[in-house]
Amino acid sequence: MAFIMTFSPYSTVLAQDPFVGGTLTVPMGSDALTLNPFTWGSVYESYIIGHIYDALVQNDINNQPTPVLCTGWTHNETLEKWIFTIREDVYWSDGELMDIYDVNYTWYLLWTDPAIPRRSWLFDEIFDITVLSETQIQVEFWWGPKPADVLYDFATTWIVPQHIWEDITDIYTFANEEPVGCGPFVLEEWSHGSFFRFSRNDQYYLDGPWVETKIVQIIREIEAGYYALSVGDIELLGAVPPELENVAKSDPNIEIHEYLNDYIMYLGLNQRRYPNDEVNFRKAVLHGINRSEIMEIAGYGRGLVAPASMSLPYGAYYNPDIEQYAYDVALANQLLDDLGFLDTDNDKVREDGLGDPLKFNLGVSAEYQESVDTARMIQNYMLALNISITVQPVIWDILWSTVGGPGGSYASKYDYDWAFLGWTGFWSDFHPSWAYWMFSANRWWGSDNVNIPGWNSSVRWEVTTLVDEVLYETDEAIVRQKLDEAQVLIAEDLPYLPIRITGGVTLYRTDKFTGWIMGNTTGPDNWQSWMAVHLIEPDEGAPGFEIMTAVLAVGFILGITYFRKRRK
Amino acid sequence: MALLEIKNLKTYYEIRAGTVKAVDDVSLSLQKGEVLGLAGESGCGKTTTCLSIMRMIQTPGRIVEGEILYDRAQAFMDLEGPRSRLQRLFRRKSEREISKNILDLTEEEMQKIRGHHITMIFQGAMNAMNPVHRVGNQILEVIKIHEPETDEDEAWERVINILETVGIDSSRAMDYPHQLSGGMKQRALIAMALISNPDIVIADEPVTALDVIVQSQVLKATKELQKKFNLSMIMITHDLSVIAEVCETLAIMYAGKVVEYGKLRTLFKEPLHPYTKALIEAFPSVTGPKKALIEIKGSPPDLINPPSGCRFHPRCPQVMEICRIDEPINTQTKDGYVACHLYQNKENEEDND
Amino acid sequence: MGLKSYIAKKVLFAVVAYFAAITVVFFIYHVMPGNPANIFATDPRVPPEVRDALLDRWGLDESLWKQYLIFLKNLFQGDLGYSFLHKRPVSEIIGERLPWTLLLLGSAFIINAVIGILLGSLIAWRRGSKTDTAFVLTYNVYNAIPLFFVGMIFISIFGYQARIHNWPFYFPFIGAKTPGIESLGTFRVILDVLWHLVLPLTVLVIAGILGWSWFMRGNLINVKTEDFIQTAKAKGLNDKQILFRHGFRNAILPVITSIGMSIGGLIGGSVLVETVFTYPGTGRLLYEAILYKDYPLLQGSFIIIAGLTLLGLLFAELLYGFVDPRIRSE
Repeated sequence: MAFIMTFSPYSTVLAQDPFVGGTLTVPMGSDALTLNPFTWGSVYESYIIGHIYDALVQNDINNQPTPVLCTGWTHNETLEKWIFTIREDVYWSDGELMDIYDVNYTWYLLWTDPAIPRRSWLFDEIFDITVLSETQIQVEFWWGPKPADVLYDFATTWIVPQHIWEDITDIYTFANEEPVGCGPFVLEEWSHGSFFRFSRNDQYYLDGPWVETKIVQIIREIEAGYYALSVGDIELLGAVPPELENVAKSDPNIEIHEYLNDYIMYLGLNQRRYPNDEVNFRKAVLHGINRSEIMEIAGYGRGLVAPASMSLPYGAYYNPDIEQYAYDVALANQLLDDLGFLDTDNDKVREDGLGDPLKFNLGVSAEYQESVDTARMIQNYMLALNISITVQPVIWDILWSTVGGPGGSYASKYDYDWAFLGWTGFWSDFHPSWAYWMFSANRWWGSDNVNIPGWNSSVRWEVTTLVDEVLYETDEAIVRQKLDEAQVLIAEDLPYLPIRITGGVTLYRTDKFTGWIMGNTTGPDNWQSWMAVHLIEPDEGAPGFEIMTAVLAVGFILGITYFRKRRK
Repeated sequence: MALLEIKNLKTYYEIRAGTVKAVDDVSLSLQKGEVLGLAGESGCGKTTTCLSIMRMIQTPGRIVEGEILYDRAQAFMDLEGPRSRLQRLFRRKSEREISKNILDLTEEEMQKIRGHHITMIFQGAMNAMNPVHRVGNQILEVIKIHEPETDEDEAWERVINILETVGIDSSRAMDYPHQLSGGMKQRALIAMALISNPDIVIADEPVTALDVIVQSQVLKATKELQKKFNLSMIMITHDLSVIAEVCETLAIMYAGKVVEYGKLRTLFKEPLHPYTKALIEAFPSVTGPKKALIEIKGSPPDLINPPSGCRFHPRCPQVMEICRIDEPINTQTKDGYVACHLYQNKENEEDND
Repeated sequence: MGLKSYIAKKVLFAVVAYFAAITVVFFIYHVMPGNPANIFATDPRVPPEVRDALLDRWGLDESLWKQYLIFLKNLFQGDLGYSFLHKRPVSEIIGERLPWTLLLLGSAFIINAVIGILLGSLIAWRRGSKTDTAFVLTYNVYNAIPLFFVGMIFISIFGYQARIHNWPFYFPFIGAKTPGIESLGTFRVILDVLWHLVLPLTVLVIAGILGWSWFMRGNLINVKTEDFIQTAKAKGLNDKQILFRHGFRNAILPVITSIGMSIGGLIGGSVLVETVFTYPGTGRLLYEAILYKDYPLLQGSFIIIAGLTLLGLLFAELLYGFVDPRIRSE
């Protein structure tokens, strides 16, 4: 597994400004249906909107905050009051100057209208918003949220121009077809179902972007996308399946970038049932699974083996001093023997303390081949432990409601033995509250309403206390210490049996554009990259088109005349 | 020289079950102005003979042997119309002698004859005309094909004339076929066959589908036309009353062979072949004394494996030993010939005497 | 009864049928569970103020009959409804995709029908020959090949290999036109659109042409057995004349009906081709509408499809009456 070294755009040293020009074409899998920054529904829409609008703060590829529309921020000791200073050289695409009142208008709109679909949860925690001066605005919360929350969740709200939006009667139904923003690109053309065409904002207040035109082309079929990539019609391609990745290896103009997703696939043992609630049983099972082999085979080598603390291993708060649960069949069998789960009737299946055989159903989503493959591999591994597993592939919706996922129908809630599925890592690589969101019994995911694995040992309450304290703790050192403790406890008690962190691959060309910036969890097409990517050489026009048409036309006419002569 | 002479024509159909010998060694001749009747049961080869003359036999049928000599064939071949480049490429040498044998002509040459010099009227007029074209236009088409340089108005005049000749009012010329009655359709077909002043008109059961009154009208009209234009006709029918009205000569066919041929009066008065006798006797007479209907025993023979010897022998009331073994040859009669052992030996005897 | 009264009768029937169709659409959508009023109530995408506004506009809290009248009134003003997924009026959404669909599928249809019919006629005339046998074999084989596979092969050869090996011509396989082409003038735009049209059109033509040939061939074989063909031959017409003057006009009658019925289907687009080539047509649009349960869009589309189908049928019937005089006399 190779990771690209990360670096911030401002540290790139260039002898001179890069060439301005060129047309950068990138693909998108589906159409965006609206460009309304308050009501967008899919990642495609947020991607497009992100080209047009800016926020006070932008997160870079390592999810660290970078000032964009603002020049900086300060906060008081208790983190309740935050003051942002905005730039004075920002212009909207219709020529108007962006000022503090636009920020005020946007935040006010979101603060007073809880029904707006795209609204950070922090707006509910706001006590007051005050304009302090022509360049400064203060927001005051009821309690002091973590800087990561404020900067990642609140300050990244897109700012809209007041002079346009205050005239709109119904923002819910406003499609925003001709958006006016102050972002790095200006939308020139939106051909529904086909493409978006942007031109660079030449009044942009930061360095860049350097490409003159950016086209986001909708390409629905990944194979067609690969062809387009290999002939140079598009510059990059994401979500690439393994077979195309292999083909790309032989093309010298295409580079491969592997990245990780903030998504952890885990094996959930339903601890509402015996013997799943025996911690040593869970440990034995995890020792008996060869997770790196699963990653290599079922995952085609993408991703990482997930740590037992269910946290991403390259973040600021990661504690590496936890039990690693190496693949050790002997140890697993030993643990099971110590528990008294012996094979009393010699049928190759152990019996538990109550005399019932260790036979379990393993539910998995039938819609993902990787998951089904993983489930079968786990089934195999369990044979060496004399545990009998029946793999049950079901439709995702059914699996989700069975394990107790929110939004499902509850006909057969919690009626499962084992299940293999995945969930977000809650931004554990940079967000100190991640453990709170995932494990606290007071937060919806870990609460009794959801609590998918049915974790209910005494450790659950210990961890809950710790992470709740972390939520409100302002001292960074104490936050780290408590998170370290929590991770150790979690790794010891194994509420989830994490298998792997999923990963993906993006392909990108290197012959025309350069300057791509990528990270552990992001591909080349991100905001930072937009500021950096530029042509290697100045662009010459494409010559062939006219000649080709002429050749075709002449050929056609000749063909017809010849054909008619023959027929006569 | 006869206008049309058929010599030893053999037309077979090769089907999976075997070879159907539909026309097996048939010889006939037709003079100018003669009306020849061709009678016999269904499936005896009448239609096939006529289709062979028109060279409209389709696979799996094939004209295997024989000659059909058409005296006036050469006269039309000098009129060479414009030929396509492809045809010129494949044409035979210009000094080629156009033979009188229709079977030797090329398809293009045959197309000049069909519809123009030798025409055919088919039976069952229900669907014999194209339902989407007007009747007048379909008749006009004949002129357009064969005499393309004719002036439009003049051609139309001819169409009107011929329609009136067959007894169809000119106001019906622009009608569609489904708007005409059965009799009128038949008459239109006759008009179509006559408009180009053909030498020979072959009529295949032209009045079978019509009721008696219309039948007699059409026949009368046909007779008039024939006299007027001195047409040569071959009239196929199994209805002897029709033959009695229009024909001069008559050929009786059975199982693909002509069993008797001669002038009408002779055959009616003194039929020689047992089959002819049976046919004529089978036909009830309106004026004569009341008789029981005499049927001909048995059914038409299988043409793939016809009976040995004389094909009629299984049904012949006067069958002899030799009939089963030898096929009879044509014996000359007063004004024709008959193929029957009854008379064959007699002649031999006479010769020997 | 002549041509004029025949036309009038057919047009009247078509109009009546259309009204019946849209009435059925209306009542189905309102009577079934999942009707617009319910949809508003349960669709989380619709906020309350919008709900009220639309309730007003479409009179959704009034009696069914009144709603129907409002529906008709809106329909005549060109208002086909409002899609919540797209947040735009349905007529606008369909309107911008429809021209592309008609361009692609219309051209494919015309080429398929014309060439297919001619091809079928020529092959039927040579029934039993090697051409005929080859045709039958080809038809069976090619029916088995899926459309998207053919599409990908074309992309691979003419989009990819052609570019890689620098052949004198290649074709684009994404979209309907190059972004930004308008700046180069109308002529270039037309060329560009045609250039993008080539590959999807070829795939559709390959898919459809043998079907029409097969159909026409079957019809013509039947017609060849008719008596009037024999009469025509006896008149001395050569094969070509018989085929085109007599056989063709009769054999084409069922084909006309088929053409009429197919016209309504044009608007449905071709989902496979549109997906593979990312052609912005209505096929993909409707597919996504079903996927995301966008009922207003589906209802609006159905109204258009019904209209076009009836128009197509009307056209077919009129043409039929023109070609076949027997129909006129009834």
